[in-house]
Amino acid sequence: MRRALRNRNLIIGGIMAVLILATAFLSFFYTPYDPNRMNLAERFQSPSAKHWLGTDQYGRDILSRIMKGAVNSLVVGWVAVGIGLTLGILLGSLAAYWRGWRDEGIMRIADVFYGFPAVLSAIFITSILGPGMVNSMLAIGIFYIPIFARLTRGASLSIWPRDYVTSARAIGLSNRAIIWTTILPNILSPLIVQTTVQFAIAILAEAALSYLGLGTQPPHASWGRMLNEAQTFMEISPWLAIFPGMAIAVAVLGFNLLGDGLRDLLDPKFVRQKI
Amino acid sequence: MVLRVIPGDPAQIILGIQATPETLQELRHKLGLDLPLIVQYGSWLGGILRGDFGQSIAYDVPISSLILSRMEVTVPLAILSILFAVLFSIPLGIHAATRRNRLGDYGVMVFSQVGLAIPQFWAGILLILFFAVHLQWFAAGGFKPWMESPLLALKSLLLPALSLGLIRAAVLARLTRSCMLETLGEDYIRTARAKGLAEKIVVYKHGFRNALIPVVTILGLQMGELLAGAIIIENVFHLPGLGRLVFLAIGQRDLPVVQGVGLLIAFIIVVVNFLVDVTYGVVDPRIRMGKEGS
Repeated sequence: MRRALRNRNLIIGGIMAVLILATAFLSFFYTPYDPNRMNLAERFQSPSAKHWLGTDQYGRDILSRIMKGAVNSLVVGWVAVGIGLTLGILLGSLAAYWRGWRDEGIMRIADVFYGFPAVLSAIFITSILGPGMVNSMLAIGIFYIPIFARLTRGASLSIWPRDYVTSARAIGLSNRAIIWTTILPNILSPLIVQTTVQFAIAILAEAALSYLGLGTQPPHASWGRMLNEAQTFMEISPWLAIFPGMAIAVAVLGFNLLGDGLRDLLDPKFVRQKI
Repeated sequence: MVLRVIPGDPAQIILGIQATPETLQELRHKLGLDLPLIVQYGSWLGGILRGDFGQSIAYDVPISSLILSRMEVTVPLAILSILFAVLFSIPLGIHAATRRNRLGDYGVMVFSQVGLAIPQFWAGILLILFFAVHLQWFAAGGFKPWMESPLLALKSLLLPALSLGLIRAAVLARLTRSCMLETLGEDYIRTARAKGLAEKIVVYKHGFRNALIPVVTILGLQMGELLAGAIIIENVFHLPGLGRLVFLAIGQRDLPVVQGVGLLIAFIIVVVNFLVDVTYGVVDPRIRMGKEGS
């Protein structure tokens, strides 16, 4: 606990991540205005006491839309990471258990996906599946499967030869039970760290897809989409292009720092090696 | 093959919703879309081997000429981005490593963390806001062809290259710092210092050269990310490059163009990684291909 409190990355990242999570949670119960309600009489209002972050081209309150946009970003992030984590752990654990040609097969397929840049893959996949929030979750999630599969396989391979795994086998545990109760709990640390890092990347990827019109569709608020719309009007309303971008940067920075902090905390070997 | 199962009929997109079933069928036949998938794929592969990328469905011109014309934007954009990334990151990384745990080091680490958190397209929008809207030094977007005005062409690529390069610089600066710290802790650096060499020679000639290999590797690996970033940045700045071409082609279901550009991107990534391997031998004479152990 004392080590956690001394970890600057963990504290700052944790605060930023909690801030974003709390904003998203609060938006279910309260937003200053209806985020989708148009009010043409109040178009392009600059930040003021009435509209803290101003209004857009339809008179919609920017703060309310950023709050709702947080929900979309977090949902896309969680579902994408969830898909990658679930299938990646499954494939990685099986590859490490099977070894041989089945391991080779799974890993070579993972390599094919791994070689493609994340955003490029997501753009191609969303263009195949069609634009939308659900498809962007799938697009990002599919790209994450090989990342978690490789991580799980690598970490599992180092655990299988350990004495306590041999002991578990000796007391008659099935292979499935060994993976579930002995292998997975021992590789949780790198998985937790990777989850926070991939979560931050998912927020960036979702914003990029929405910016290109392939992610969350209007009228629903999305940070990337807000930036796309802002670009047309930034000469008269520059704040439209500033606040949604700041929201993305805070969320990504928060989860990145949290990931760094967790790595320092959960992997003392890494701290010793880190320079 | 996957691209061929994209929902949406290219023939319908070209002829519009008013088209009759007969004209649609005629166009599908002309484009070869009525052939089995495996035959279409085989014919595409055969064409590639002959240097023929096929015909664009939407533009009705050879894809190779379409790609060539767009490369005059994307290739200089990629080169400029890498140039910016290297020019920013390497001095920053070395500066941070030689001033470990001091203000300069913290500054570089903050730049690196913030750079990693900023979406490239937002960096582009902020640069437009400051340099094009506020200072009016640059146009907010568009591209003047090199043949018309080389200076204006270069000027229209500076902001997009900066937005791509700055984000890459954040990654590279952190890596350069980390590699330099590791190298500066080696025995031969202590020996070089003990010989009384000037600190600049110790840092740059002995330290930096040995720290360069991981930096060059990551620079090569970032080529894929850079090309993916170009798709978005070319849309932000309305540049008629390969990225914008492939993005529009996806919307128009112009599959031969998507396949052609996809193949080209894969080819560029492979070539860059090969060049990275070649660079190893230049950077570190101890590494010579095929001469291990000698």
